[in-house]
Order: sequence, then C-alpha cells, then structure tokens
Amino acid sequence: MSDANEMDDLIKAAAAAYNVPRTIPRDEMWAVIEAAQSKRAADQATAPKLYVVPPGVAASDSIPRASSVTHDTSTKSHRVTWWAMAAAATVLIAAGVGIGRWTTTGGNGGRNQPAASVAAATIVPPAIVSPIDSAIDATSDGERSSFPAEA
Amino acid sequence: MALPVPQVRGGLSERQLVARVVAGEPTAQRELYETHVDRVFRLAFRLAGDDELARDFTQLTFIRAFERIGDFRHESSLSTWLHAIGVSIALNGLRKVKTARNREAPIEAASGIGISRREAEPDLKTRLAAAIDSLSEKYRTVFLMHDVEGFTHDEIGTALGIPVGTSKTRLFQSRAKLREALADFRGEWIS
Repeated sequence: MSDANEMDDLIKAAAAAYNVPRTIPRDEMWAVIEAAQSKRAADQATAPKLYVVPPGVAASDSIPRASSVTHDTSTKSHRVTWWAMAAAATVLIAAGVGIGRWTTTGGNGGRNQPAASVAAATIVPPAIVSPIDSAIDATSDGERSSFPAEA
Repeated sequence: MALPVPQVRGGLSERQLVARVVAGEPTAQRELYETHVDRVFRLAFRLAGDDELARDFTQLTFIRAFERIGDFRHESSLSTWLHAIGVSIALNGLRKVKTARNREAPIEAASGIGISRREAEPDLKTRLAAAIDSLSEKYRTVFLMHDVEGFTHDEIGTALGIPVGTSKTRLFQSRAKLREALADFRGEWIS
C-alpha cells in the first residue's frame, strides 16, 4: 500500500470522530414534523375549493361526492389553474384579433375588396413617375386607354 | 466508516411503504421516519456541526418528503431520494445561516507545530477537523458523504445532481487536500 493510501485510511478513520451527534432527538423532531403536517392539513381543509361539475349534473348533488373533480389549492391544482388561465387568455386574444380582422374587411373576409394596404402601395406620386414607366405599367395591366400622351 | 443502509421494518417492501404514505396513513409516515431518521440526522449533523441546525434540517427534510412523496417514482432508492432532499436543504441552510465556524480559513494556518507521538491523537483530531472545515463545500460534502458516512458514488451523484465521475474526482481532490494539510503527521502515522 502506498503512503498516500495508508494516510487516506488513517484520515478516514480519524474523520469518523468529526461532527458526531451525541444523541438523535427522534421524538422531538417527530413532534415538530407531525405538527407541521397537521397545520398543512388544516390549511388545506380551510382553503377555498373550486368544484368542477360535469354538464347536466346538479351542483348540489355533485359537490359532496368524492367522484366529482375537485381543484383545491394544492401545488398541482395551482398548476392546472394557471394552465387553464393561460389557455383562456390565448383564446381570448386570438378571438380579438379575428374579430378585428373581420370588421376591417367588412365581414366578407376581404374576397371582393382589394386590401387597402396593397392599393396604397401601388399609388405612386406622379412627380417621380416617368411616362415610360407609366406606359409599361399600363401595358402589363392591359389598360391601354390609360396611356399618357406622348410628349 | 461505511454504515448500513436502513431496512424497512416489519418486512414491508419500500414500494408498499411508499404507497401507504401516499395514501396518508400516519403510521406509515412514522415508520418511514423511524427507518431513515438516524442516517438523515447524522449526515445533517456532520455537515452542520450544530445540533439545532441538524434538527431543523432533518425536520424540514421529512416535511418536504411527505409533501412530495407522491412524486417519488422509485427511480432511485427511497433512502437516496430522501438524502437528496436532505443534502439540498442542509447546504442551502448552511449558506443562509453562515455558521460561526470559518470554513474558509487557510489550511496552512492550522499546520506547523511539531509534536510528540503521545500528544498526536487529540491534536490530530483538532487539525483534521480544521482541515475538513477548510475544504470548500463541494469537496467537504463528498468527503463526508463517502469517507465518513459511507455513501456510494452513485448515491452521492444522485443526491448532489452530479455525475459519478465528478463525485470520484472531488473525493480524490479532497483527500489530497487533507493529506497536504496533515503532511507533518505522516512521520507519526506511517512507520
């Protein structure tokens, strides 16, 4: 055995005396744990609960039953509630955007009406459009009647 | 010093005991507590070096464990799972309370006095305690868990959330630091 290994063994043996508890207060600690458990149970019992009742079932019948889905204030239920709230918020925002678009297009989904933004984009200030450019545009659209007069 | 992992009393399997605790049986909670409390408390005391802190850490460990026992998936042993909670609570607690002991005192400060063999034993314990205290948290925790409390590297890895190789490296380095701190005892010990 090398010196290092031998010394490790000796250190290990000596370290067994490092921070050794004299006694283990099992009963005292259990009393504290039990009290904490009781307090938690009492807190849960007094916390408001949300009962989710299946459709078609009278609330008065379903609430006391163990079979009804119960959301209390435990951590897991909080998580479920937050997910539901987030989903509801997403649906609400999507509905708002949809209604907004629907109203701007007059309720026909924009099928019969050119989009205002596209129309605006094709309006070019006359000062910077040369007659040749205009003629090319008109040709491509097949609108020969709008040809400007040749200079 | 390797200590035996506690066995569940009364011949019940760990799964059965956990199932009873999840079902809310108070006797099962007590049984689980009695089975594991000694080892949890001993490790808490080794880490904290203080009775009050060790009590607080142990109590909190079991309170948390009973709260979360429904999430226990038997991917590790119940003992390992409990110690993962316990070590986490103890280390976080120690960081917060900043115990009076100055763990960061340089190892060199504790060395350098030549002594006779007859006087070696009490001084060795003092010097070793100072050297262990001076180890940084990550080395100290692995050294105490492995060499003093007898945890395996697998258990340490799970409890601390580190790979087994890291646990081995930290143990190797902590032993090297302790050997260095106690180098002047070499002649006394090895002859």
